[in-house]
Amino acid sequence: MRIDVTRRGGFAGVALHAVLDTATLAAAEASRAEAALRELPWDRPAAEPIAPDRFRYQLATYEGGHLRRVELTECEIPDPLRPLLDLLPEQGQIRPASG
Amino acid sequence: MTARCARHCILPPGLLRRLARSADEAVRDAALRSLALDGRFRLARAETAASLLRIPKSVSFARIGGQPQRTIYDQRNSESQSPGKVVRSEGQGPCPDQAANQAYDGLGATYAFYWTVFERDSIDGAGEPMLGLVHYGRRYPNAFWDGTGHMFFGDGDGQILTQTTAGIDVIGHELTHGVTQNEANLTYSGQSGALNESVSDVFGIQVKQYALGQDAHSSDWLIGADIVGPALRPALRSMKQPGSANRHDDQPADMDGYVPGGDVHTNSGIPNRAFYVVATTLGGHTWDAAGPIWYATLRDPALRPNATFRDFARLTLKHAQQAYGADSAQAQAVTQGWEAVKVPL
Repeated sequence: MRIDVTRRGGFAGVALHAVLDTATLAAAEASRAEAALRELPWDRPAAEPIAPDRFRYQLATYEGGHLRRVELTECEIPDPLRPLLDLLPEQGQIRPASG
Repeated sequence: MTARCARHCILPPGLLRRLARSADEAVRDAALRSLALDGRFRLARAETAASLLRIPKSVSFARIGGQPQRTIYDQRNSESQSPGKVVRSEGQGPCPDQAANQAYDGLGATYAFYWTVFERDSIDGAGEPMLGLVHYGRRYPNAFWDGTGHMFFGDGDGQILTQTTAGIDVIGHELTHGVTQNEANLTYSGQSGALNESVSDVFGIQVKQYALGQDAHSSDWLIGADIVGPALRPALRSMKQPGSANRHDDQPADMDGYVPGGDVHTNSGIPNRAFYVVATTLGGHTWDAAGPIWYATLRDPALRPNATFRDFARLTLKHAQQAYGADSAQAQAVTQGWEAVKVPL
């Protein structure tokens, strides 16, 4: 399952973007991550910021043939998704804060 | 009197009155000038308070102020939001953990700046304990104030940020988010969000300048230069030249480059540069006049949570005129600052 991930916010004020693939995880981690992804509140309105300079994650996927998006605060990340998002610092490309 | 306070910066009135009785003529003159200036700010604050409805805050008689209450906790790389093991408490000497000591010193420097310059007793103005939580998360590339009395420090990912406790301006920036929360409570999106970010940079850089004894012209006006990783060197933001701090810096330097719907860290470049222009036009220490004008604006009940750049700019001019005079150099510098970034007054 391929997910387009952009991390925004944080004191540094830059965005970090990558397309992450659950297929790169170990099989058990991948199936837990995919289950967590299916249960995300896709297409809900963006959440209010929890505090200044906290991270928020914008996720998008074309799974199922149409674009779906969701924005999560860093406190809303389900634990089974963490191994996938942990790939972001290594695979991500830095973008300007508003890019 | 130290060299840092040789000019007319604002000290607690009691100390100023003692200095005004000094036998040293230069010290006496400086203290008398500061007392006069401080009196004008107090009068301006009283006039503002009298003209607007404001919610009275509870008064604490338990504290005299002037002494921070710091506690540093080791989060041991967890992302728990609850404080972990205490590694250093107020008054204790350094512990073996450098990050904990840097956090302790940075919280202390921020307290000292706000107390000495503005007579503000901690983040809430009523002696709120300062709690620093170090080693938050695993290689966490961020530091933040959580809005409920805790400042969290990540160790950095080594690319975007390094050890965040090493940035005294970062600590001043984050704790100022707490000050803003207690004052204007600027909404964290749009122009009010960019103002919220800018106010944190404005006081964060002053905490650093104050700790280093720098004046407006000797400061580099860079934010995050001590904690930036190789991917973003040499700094995260430049208040002097927004957009030039690193190759990903998208801050506009004036309203021509304003990004509609942009991130709060992007458009904050505009009010950041206005403040830089005011401070460097006036010269001397930033906290002599430019800092107090911005602080009085932040505390003014007329500054609403949804304030625009123009709302904020007009209030800075009001406070400059009230404290120093309608045609004063300070009021002219404020006008020049906002003109430079093309925010109409």
